[in-house]
Amino acid sequence: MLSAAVLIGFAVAALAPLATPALGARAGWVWALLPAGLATWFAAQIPQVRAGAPLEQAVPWLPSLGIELAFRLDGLSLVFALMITIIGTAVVIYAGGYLRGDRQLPRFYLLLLAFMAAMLGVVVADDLISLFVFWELTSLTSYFLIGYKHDKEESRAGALQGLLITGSGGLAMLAGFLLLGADVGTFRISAMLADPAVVQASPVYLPALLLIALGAFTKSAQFPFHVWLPNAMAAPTPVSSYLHSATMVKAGVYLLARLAPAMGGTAVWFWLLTGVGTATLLAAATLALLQRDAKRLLAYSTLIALGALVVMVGVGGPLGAEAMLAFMVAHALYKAPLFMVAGNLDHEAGSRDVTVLSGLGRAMPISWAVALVAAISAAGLPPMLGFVGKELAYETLLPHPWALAALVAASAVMVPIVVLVAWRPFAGREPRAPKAAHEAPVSMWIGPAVLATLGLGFGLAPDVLAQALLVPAAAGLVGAPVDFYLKLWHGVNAALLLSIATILLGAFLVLVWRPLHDALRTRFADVRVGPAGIYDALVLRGIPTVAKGLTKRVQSDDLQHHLLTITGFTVGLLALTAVVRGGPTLALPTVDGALHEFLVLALIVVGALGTASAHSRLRAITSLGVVGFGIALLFVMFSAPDLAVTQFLVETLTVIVLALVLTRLPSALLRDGEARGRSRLALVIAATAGAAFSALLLAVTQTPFDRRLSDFFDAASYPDALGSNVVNVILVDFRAIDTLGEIFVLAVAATGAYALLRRLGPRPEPEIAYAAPRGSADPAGDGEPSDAGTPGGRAADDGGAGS
Amino acid sequence: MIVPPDGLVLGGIAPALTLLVAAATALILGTVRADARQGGAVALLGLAAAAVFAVRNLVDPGAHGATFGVQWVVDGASAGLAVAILVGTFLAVLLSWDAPVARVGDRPEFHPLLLLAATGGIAMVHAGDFVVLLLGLEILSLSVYALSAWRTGVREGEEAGMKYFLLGAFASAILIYGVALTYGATGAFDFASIGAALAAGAPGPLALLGGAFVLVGLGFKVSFAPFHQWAPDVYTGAPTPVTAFMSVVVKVAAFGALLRVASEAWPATVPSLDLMLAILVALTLVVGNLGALLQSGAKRMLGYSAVAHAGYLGLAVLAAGQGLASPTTVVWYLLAYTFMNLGAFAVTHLVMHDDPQGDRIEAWQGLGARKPGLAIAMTLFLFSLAGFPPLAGFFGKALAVRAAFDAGWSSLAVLALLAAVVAVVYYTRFVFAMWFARAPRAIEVAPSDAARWAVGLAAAGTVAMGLFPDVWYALVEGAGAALALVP
Repeated sequence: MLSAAVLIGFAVAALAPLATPALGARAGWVWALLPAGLATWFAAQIPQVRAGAPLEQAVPWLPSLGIELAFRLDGLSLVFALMITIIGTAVVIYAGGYLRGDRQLPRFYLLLLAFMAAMLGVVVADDLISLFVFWELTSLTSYFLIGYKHDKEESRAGALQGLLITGSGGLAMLAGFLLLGADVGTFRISAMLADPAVVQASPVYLPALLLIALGAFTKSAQFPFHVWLPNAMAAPTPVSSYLHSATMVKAGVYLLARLAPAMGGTAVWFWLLTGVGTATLLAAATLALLQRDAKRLLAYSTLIALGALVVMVGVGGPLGAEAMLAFMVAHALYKAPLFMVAGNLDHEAGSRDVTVLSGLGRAMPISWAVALVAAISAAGLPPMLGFVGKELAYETLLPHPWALAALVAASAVMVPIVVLVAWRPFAGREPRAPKAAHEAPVSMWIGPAVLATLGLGFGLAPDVLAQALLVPAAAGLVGAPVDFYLKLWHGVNAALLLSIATILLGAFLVLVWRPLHDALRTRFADVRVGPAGIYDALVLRGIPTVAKGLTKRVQSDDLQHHLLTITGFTVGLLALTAVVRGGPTLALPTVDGALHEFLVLALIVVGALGTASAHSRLRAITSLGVVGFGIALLFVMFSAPDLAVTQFLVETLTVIVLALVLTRLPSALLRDGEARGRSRLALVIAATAGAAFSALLLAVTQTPFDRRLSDFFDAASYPDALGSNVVNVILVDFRAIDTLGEIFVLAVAATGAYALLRRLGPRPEPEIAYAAPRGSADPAGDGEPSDAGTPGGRAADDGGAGS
Repeated sequence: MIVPPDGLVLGGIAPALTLLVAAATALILGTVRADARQGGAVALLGLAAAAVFAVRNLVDPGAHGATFGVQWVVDGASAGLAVAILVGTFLAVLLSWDAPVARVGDRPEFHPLLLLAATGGIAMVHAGDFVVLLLGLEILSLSVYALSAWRTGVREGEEAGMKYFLLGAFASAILIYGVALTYGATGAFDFASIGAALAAGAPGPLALLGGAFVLVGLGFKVSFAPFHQWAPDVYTGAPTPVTAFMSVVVKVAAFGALLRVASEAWPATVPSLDLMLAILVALTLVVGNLGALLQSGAKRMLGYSAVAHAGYLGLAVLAAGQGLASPTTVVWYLLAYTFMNLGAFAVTHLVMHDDPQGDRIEAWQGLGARKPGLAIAMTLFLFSLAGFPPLAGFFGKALAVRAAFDAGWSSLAVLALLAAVVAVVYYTRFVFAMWFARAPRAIEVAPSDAARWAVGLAAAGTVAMGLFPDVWYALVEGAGAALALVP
């Protein structure tokens, strides 16, 4: 059943593109049946989960490697699952009104429902690999949803940025999972949670924790990865309220909470999470003061909440768990309605700029009422659930005054934010808006109204929520059964005093908002340092620059360059291996020989040098011939006349063939200017390769020779084959079939070559001038550069095509 | 089951023989009546028949063993890779069904060459010794050289073919030199005996050098950096159906050979070669991914992407070669790669529609609105190549990285994951253009139902392998991914 609950979402999503056009205006209501039904089913599981019997199911996926889709629904998963499905219901209905008549609506529902299913998969996955799979699916759907209004540049940039940051964070997380799973021997989350000592004693605990936390921080937009979240506001409002405030961005918090019993409780854990969370709080609170777009304001307030949640997971313990869960549910119940109201403003009044809008309360009374209820909760005032959550958060942080101070300051900033979003556009007598505003259709206020009312209801009776959901969930976070009661009114205590201080500070910020906002905007207007600037520099400019440089270096279109690379790299590889792993030791050979032998040797050396330094092909070939003939002479001297004859023949033939080819190639090898740079490199590589081969030859001569075959042929040649020349006997007798085969090959090759030559006939000009450098002499003389568009053209393609 | 030395098991060689017969038939029929459809039909029939034999080799344990004196090995890895080669060739024939490359009237060699190349590939993956390996390699390479220069009179095509040929010949020479040196050091051609000889004592400089040269030679074929330089050029210069074919079949065959050499001829007790392979893998991951980042043409981007994937496959080979991961990982990845990479080239072929510049990123703009089916398929292929779950490519990369972790190459595994991040960028650029950019003009795609079938089959394979990865994995693993060979 549990797997069906996750997978049915994908099935329905697949139907969405086909059925949506037929459903017309009712589409939102119909598709909302899916999340509503799922929410009912999850709610029905509350008694069993409360009883401490989580639902479990494993579907084999890659059983040969022990990878399965394992699902487990315990208290912690259930809170998230209900949040995803209940808010999902509201959002799906809302989207039907918000995007009514949009041509891409079928695709939108496909992506939204698929996202919901993936998100459910994340929170009920009991296997790290399954979790990663669903995690990346949420990143992918988010990417398409942010880019939904694809004719806007900001949508496209925001989509890419979101995908890059969360997608790469996800891969880091996968690395952490693999590292940890390989070490503790299981990828089952429940198995890890059952035995935290193994995880914490693991030698890879620290790197795994850092990598997994990186995944969680990017997903939950923690400092300094927070930059993508405000830019994701380019998405349509239903997406912002669902993915980018209520659910997807909480996936990171979920992951940390999920793993807290296994990985938490250490000093690294505490300082990492509270440190990053606090930094997020402060950065978000500061940046929020710069905003005037309702959605961006809300995005920064979401960042504040996410920072607070991470801090509370870091502190942990029963109180931390209680506070984190209450705070999170409260946030989901007030933030989604606020987003949807901001969407209503955009949709009905034509702007989200809070400095432009005012006096819309009369035209949009229901939206205003919803906004106010949600805003009271967001500001942390009684009798809302937001108040309960914030009190608990303060209480949790009392032992850590520095984090507490940050949270108080950030909570104070929430006050001007909600005033700007929920009061300023509506209050006033004169309606001021780009277009004549009127109330949104029922589909666009029913969802937020229900959610905001839930926030009020749970605020009045928080213990209903606590006993049904939060207590079992806290047990999942702590790793042991916990018990607590939630009350709206705690009496006068430190937390309440801090709350009062928060409200007073917030009220002060509301009063000075305008001058403060203007001052900050002028101050930070042109600042491009900070995480966003780093993202730009690194991702948008840095990587392409590096890639360009590297590609230019290793990728040329020049054949000689390729050959150089292959040779050079092979030698380098050998040398490096010899250094790292130890190579053979070489003894220098003793030098003795007659004078004429040294003369021939000198001839060979001169020939080789002549080849290497030749500027014309003819000279190169002639010099190469000298080397070959010199070697043949050596053969003669060391009494191997048959080898010498072969060598003479081969050399002669080679020189003749090469000389014939020459007539069809451009005359110059390289032009001087161009040659110099390259030949220096070539010289180094050639010298290294030569040295390597000399060393190799030395090594070979010092390797004990396996004489089995030689002895056999020596012994058998005359008695068995009646031949006194062992080589001849081998060729025509012992390996006669091989020789026959070679003759055949030669014959076939010759026939083929003859056929080709006859078919092609003499060509008027060389069409392919590989070795010809740019602008070299034009052999055809028709004034056309012989290599137009070959090396230069495509090298530019490689290097310059980046966007 | 090891067959007695004098017994020949023809069942093992049946896929290759069938292809050979089909190639000869198509060639002879082609001289009588030059008709591309006729050649294509013969090719499809031959491939289907060969696939029956290959699948039988995979599922029938009685077929497993080594024959021809350990020169031809049938086990899970070789039979599985043969299936991948046949699938790739089959899709490539479908893709070229209506393509101008196959329509050139007086050149009926097109399909026979495809079949011969596949035959060579199948020989390579079944090779139990260096002689068969070299034979297979040359049969494959010579056919592909000719195919890659198929567009005569087109400068890029001729240049690409010639360059590929020259560099390929150079690499083959290095490989042969390496084989000779290995023979000199061990006195054997077959992998099992070489492995046993090397394991017996500390390998001398000859063996080390031989191994390095073999690695370089095969590294060229699998396009490890820095021996990859031909890949983007040749991929761009060759006709797209040929590129699609060679991008998968050459890779499957060469990696199959490398896998066998690495796991049998270089026993884990011989250090040094693993280090060289690791360096190549690291370099390949960096160069392939960064190079792909800048490309604005789909074919060239896919060329670098092929290099990048060689890095991941190399990781898996590295781990499998040390006996620390199952060779099945490599086999699994290669079939997944066949589907997704061939699929991506297939869509590119349709979108280019005979326009040599038609694969530039601008040509993809608005495809999502105009041709949603093709755009969805291409999105699947690209996301799969990028490694997003639950598509085939995810398991390919994940299994490779996991194998690297298991084998203790953690730093390489982390590098591979970082490279995967970069990969997201260059694949999504094209996804982006398809869905998020406005179409500048009406989009016309090549009218070819056969090619559409190729796209559809490849997409089905990409999705199915991601959703049901165990079917293929269990089949290969159950067949005994690699035999312990007795020389």
